[in-house]
Amino acid sequence: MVRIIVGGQMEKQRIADLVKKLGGDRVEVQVKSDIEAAMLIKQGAADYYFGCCATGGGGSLAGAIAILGYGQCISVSMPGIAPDKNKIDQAVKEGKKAFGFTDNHVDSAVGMLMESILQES
Amino acid sequence: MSTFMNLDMQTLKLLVITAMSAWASLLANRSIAVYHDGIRPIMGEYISGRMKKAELIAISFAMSFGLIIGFGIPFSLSSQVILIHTILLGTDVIGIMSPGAIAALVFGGLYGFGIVAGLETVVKLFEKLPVDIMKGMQMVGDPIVVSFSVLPALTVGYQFGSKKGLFTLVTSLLARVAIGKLNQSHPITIGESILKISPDGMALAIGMIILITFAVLASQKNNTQSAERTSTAALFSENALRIRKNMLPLLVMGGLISLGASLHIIGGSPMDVKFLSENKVQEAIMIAFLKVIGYIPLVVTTGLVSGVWASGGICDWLFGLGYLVSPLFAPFVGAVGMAVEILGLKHLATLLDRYPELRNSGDHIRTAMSQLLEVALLVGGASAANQMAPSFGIFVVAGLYVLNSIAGAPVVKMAVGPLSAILVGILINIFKVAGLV
Repeated sequence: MVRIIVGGQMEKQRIADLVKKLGGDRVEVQVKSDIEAAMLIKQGAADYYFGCCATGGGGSLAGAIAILGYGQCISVSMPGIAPDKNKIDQAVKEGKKAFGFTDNHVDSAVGMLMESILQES
Repeated sequence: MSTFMNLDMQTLKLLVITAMSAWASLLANRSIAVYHDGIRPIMGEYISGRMKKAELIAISFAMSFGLIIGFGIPFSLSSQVILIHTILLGTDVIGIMSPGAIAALVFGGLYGFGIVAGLETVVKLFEKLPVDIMKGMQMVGDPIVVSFSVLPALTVGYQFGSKKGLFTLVTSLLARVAIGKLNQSHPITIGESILKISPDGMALAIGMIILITFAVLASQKNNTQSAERTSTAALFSENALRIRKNMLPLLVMGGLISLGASLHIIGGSPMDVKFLSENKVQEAIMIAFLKVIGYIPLVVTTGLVSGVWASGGICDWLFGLGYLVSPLFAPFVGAVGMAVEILGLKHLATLLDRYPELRNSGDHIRTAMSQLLEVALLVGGASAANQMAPSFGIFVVAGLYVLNSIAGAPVVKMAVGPLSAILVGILINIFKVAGLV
């Protein structure tokens, strides 16, 4: 069972619904405020953090960067830079925990992330 | 505005933008403030020594470049008002890249000067084209004018479900129509002058009242669960202190922002840029203040976790303050506004922790604003393209919009309408010169 927590600041419910749809019985998903979500990762109560905002790095990852450190976080999409499956695979393999993306890229980013994460587990 | 009249407007614009740009670049160089909300958290990492400068530069550049080219510049081209992103996203990167404070001031100033001169040149170039495209370009933002007051209804929809959203939409629509009718049949007169109540303002106000009512009711219902919430302010009190220590340079920035806004040479969002270019200052004020609710959670969180503040303040009330007052008072009002933000930071954080529904409303307002702008600017881009090139304008706009989505949105969706309209304008001129149309 992969435990995913949705933090960040935009489209939270949509991301959670998408995670549930793509992961089915293999995932457990929760929506929290960004700081609380990052704390849960730090405490080991969740495995991965997804966050979304207009830039893929601000509201998406602010709490996660502060609490987990930038080494565990990555923006997988930015305005004008679409998510890339190879980079996401690599980030998941490297053990990154928190992923940020823009509200333009919710569907593609969550799709790729779920594929990588489910494969990895 | 009398003191400013000795200077012609163009020179004044150059001076103020150059000063603002130089100062913002200095603030980014000293890690005091950046505009880009995505750079703020990583700047915290840089300050604490966990990130190298080279990495900070690389990420800031990647994060800002697409937004300047694809968002800032297109919106600044379609009117005489510069969208603030064009300036402050650039100065973030320049300040971070500069080796020292003096270099940051000089390169930042040059950048601001270059932006004003460059935009001016492009607009003059557009005016010389055989087929006029400026009239078309001004149509890009038109749908914003009529649709912005639907924002509270969309926010209610995102936060509390589409049924409540529809209820809010219908109620605000009725308020809008009723006020329009009242303005005609029973105008309110004060002495000789007729006081017109803005139908948009009324629709916006009614929508906001409904949104706040739903949010308060939901907060009361959920209050029992939120007893053991974490205190963000306590967690990051050192960072709050760091921001407070940088108060003075930040006050100067606040003053410059409000001055620029008061002169109507900068706007905080595509919406107020559009309103200012049509001299609809009241509407610009409304949208600038409404946006604050959406940005409080974002700026407060990114500021607290990094110790770096926002060079534009919490968007966009410093602009709103500027629109409200004359350029003589604007610098003072802006500085006071900035002081209120910095001194109130801890209280805002506590407020957000205590009323999570308020934080949610902020998040949903931003989602709603993004979606509304995407639709409004697509429609605007299409009608502008149709005006410039009736035979193929919408063909290009609709085609590029969908292709961009298929490609996974390499261009910010909100900017596809305006950018394709500019492209259509250039194409129609090439075809004209080539004798094809």
